[in-house]
Amino acid sequence: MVNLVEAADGKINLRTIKALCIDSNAHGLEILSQTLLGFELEKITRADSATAAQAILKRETIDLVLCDSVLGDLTGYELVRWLRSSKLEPNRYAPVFVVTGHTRADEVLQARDSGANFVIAKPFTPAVLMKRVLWVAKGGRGFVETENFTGPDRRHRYDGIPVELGAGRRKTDGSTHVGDATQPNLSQKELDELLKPRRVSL
Amino acid sequence: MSQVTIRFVKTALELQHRKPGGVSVGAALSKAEENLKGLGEASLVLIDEGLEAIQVLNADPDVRPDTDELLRAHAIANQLLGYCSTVDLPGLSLVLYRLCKLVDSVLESDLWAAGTFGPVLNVLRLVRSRAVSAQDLETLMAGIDQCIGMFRAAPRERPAETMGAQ
Repeated sequence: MVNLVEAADGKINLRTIKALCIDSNAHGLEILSQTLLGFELEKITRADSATAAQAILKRETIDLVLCDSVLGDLTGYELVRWLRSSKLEPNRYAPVFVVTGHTRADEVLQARDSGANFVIAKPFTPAVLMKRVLWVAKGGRGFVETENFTGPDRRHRYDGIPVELGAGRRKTDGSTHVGDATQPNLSQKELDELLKPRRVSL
Repeated sequence: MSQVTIRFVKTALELQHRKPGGVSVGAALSKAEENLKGLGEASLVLIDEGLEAIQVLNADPDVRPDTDELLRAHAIANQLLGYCSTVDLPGLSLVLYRLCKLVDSVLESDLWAAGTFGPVLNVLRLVRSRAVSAQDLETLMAGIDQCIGMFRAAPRERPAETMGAQ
């Protein structure tokens, strides 16, 4: 995750980002909007229901969605799933952050599979939201479409084999000392030769 | 085997967040916190109303609240959790979260003990009136956690009901 202490000196420009805040609770909607206003977003659209949000998403280009998990007519997760599997380009690729309070176990799975970029626990602070926004803004994540899931790639960076080998791991899974090279390194010419496309006749 | 498509799409956020003319992250955070503080007074009114509404859980300590009452209390507590970022009431979010967990575990259990919600509602009152020290709050919350554990450990006789939308 982004280190805010380091990032605090950096700058962020969200002025032209068009955000959509969704919450069926008026005060909750105000909290979401005021946080984004603090981040200097100038174009914030508000919706007080999933239906209203769907209408906006069909009509306008939205660059960032911040929504509550409880929307009355649909859950926030259902709305995200609808958006991700819709044909609304480019809105279906927009970063989505869902804010939730206490979540029941079955809803945790819904949240994971909805296609939201992040699910943020209430009470959320501007610092937490900023960290998530900066992390998503770094980019580089693929947008995955499968039969059961559509949304940002949920896989995180592979950090290699754990230093402490857990139960069930082979000893050879661990790091080992390779030793010094026994032959000289290949020259660039030899490497190029290895990688050169060749015509193959079968 | 199902088909998997991976697209690499540059979003507007990726393309624009580093453009010249922005603000420092620190300044953006300060401004957002200031904005949220500005909502504090309205939040306190709503928190008080919400805490009053939740008292229905302990209207008759001998009687288990019905499912609708439990669901409503869960929804209210969840809303109040969202307001906690705008007010300076240490521990309020922690106790509200425990109330949600307790309601959830009561919903998932057939067990009922008279006055189950009494302690957590009293702790909420204490936190709201800033009448509890951090150390005492820890002890009180440990008691609520034990209560949640008791409901979770209780065997269930009837099939689980689904909680439905909040």
